[in-house]
Amino acid sequence: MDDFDSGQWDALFAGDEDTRVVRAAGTASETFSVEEFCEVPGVKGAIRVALDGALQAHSLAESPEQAAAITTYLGASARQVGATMGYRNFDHAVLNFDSGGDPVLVFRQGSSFVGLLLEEDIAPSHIISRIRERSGGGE
Amino acid sequence: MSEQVQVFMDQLAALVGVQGAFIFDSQGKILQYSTPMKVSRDKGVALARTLARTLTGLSTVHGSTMLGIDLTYEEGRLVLKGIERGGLCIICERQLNYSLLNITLEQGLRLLRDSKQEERSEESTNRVDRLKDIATEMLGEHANRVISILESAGSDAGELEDAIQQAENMTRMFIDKNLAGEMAQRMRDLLMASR
Repeated sequence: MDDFDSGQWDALFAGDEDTRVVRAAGTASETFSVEEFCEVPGVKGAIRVALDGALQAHSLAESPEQAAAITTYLGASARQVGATMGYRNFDHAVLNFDSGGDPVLVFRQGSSFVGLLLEEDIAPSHIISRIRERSGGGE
Repeated sequence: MSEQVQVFMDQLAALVGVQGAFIFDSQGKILQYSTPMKVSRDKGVALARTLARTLTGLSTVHGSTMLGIDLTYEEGRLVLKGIERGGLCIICERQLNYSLLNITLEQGLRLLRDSKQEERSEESTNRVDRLKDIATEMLGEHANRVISILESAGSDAGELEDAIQQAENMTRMFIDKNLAGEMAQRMRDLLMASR
């Protein structure tokens, strides 16, 4: 994922008006919905929340409120940490649980945060690559 | 923190791509820095506060204290590991040998957890000693029975609370009913403050 230039990342993770993920590399008309994220192998569920934590869409069978809280908290903290460090371009955050449990991948999408619940043994960087490939912005 | 922990922190900071690391408590106070620490300490202090709040918030929501958080930016990366009553933050460049970092981390986290356990055991010994001091100060030569109740209690907070209750009852019945409540209150305040 490191060979992906910043413009492409911006395009991938910048949202359009209807809060769907804009596909990268000049294919901005193609978008990802929550359901489409779930089609990526290794993604068990997806959730989208507004920056203030309001739940916008999800595909989770259980505890969407908890997932929304985690997604919002992690996204907001990432922004705050970025501001402290002088990092302006947040890519993504990953939350793991030592006690076991599915990792959560969070990234910014326009005026929302997207949280993806991943299978336990999958590398988040692999998911990001898959999303990139599907969005047409791959290598 | 032990010398071993400092050695571990310095090993982390010596890895290619690591700019520095620090350990902080649940209040966001920095307990130990790595040497070198290429990021300014002012930034470290501000970061520790945010990260402590983040860990507390996420632990509350999820119910697990042992969290790992990886924050990736175009300009760099932060790796955060939750440890008992605090966390370890590693500030890295975006390009980093993550496998090497993980190997070093795995060994070090074990060390940190052991070190926290030692601290906890020292703290609980100190706590019982301070409770005994309160008894001695308030009851003088009559404190022995309260001291033996405290000594025979376990070291965790719940066991000590029970022991304080027993000590209060015993003092009220056999020593001085006026002092019993005040002594128990001071002991409970101490217990609360040491949590």
